[in-house]
Amino acid sequence: MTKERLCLTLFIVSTAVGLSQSRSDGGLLPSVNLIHKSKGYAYNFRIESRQFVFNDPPSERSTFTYDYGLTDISGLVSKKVDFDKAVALGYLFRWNGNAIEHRFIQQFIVTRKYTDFKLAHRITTDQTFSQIEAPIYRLRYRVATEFPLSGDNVDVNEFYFKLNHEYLNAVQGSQYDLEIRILPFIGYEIAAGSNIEIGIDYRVNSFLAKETEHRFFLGINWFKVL
Amino acid sequence: MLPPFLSSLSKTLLGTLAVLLYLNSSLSYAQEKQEQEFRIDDSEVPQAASSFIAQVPVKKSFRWYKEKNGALVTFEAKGRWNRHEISIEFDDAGVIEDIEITQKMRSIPQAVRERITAVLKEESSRYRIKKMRYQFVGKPEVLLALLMRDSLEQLSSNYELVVQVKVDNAYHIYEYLFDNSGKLTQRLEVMERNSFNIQF
Repeated sequence: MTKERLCLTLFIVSTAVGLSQSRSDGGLLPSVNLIHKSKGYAYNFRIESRQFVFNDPPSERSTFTYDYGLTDISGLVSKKVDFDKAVALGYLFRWNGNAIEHRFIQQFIVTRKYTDFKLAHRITTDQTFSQIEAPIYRLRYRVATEFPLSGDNVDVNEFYFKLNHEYLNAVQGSQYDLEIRILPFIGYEIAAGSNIEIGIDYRVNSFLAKETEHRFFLGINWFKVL
Repeated sequence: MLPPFLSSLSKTLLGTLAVLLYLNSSLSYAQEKQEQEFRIDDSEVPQAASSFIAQVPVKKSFRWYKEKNGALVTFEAKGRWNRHEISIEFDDAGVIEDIEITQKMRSIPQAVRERITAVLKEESSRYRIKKMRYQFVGKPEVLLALLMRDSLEQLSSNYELVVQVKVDNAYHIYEYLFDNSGKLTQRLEVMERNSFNIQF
């Protein structure tokens, strides 16, 4: 393992939080991403659904029951502004079973291709509005890496390993929270411009002030360039 | 029993997915073929190529790759030589084709470097050199003698550059090949795989 990979892996693992005296839940998190490129712009249309299959409060027995979480439909437009940099603006529509939420998204992305892996840094600000809650303002930083599992590049019919690590700072009224996400995924290039990924989407939040909440989702992503 | 909204959404998603998977399978045959590279064991390498590499004085062993570009098959040994990245390419029979050694741009003689820079500036005012490699071609015994040396000074080679270029508000990656005088002999566009899965 190269020095860069080892440092990155250790950095991500060192931010994981223990599971004692906390609540946890989780389920499925499938998403479909359709991307179209035209005249220097890339358009991403995404549908994602969150579904819970277990709930584990600290004072009660674990329960395995199905519970619909939410559905997100979003659109993002990105433009390259330099050889390795892009900016993006987007909008997300969320239905969580009770209310509709509207989210406005702004992103700055830096992508680097090294000899045998890719690295992307993403800074995001977003603002979420709904009729039943106060607005939520977030500042996010994510680092994402992709390592081919055969050769120095990912080719058609080859697997790769993807690791995302993200910090989300959220402010709602006078309340502040920090969420940390770690997402190890295995991906497969079905055809040029089409890949599918499966992995764990682990999220921990509310650990600065309240009872820590852990979430584990089985993520299944499909990316298709039209 | 799913909530009504989820039930209808699930049906919509499944239907959309089915259509898109069908489109994906039909569209993939119309897309341009790209060079495919995958790691192989030493045992899969042609004997002639293995024998050549066995004579190269290096501290660490090479990694072997098989490359397919349509019907063309080549074998590539990658490693480090005198602290530089090196790639040695063989045809499907194991006969050496070329040696490429990564170097800094400033190692190119100044007059040649200026000629190369002038060509790149003609392409675009905005460009960035990602990689520069010396390319050596010749008979196997000549190329083996090259690898027995301690340095590349006084040797004649081609120069292969991988360059990011901005043209008409669009970004491209080209592989340029210059001869040892700095004259452009080949220019190919590199179709890099997209990075949407780590950007979005």
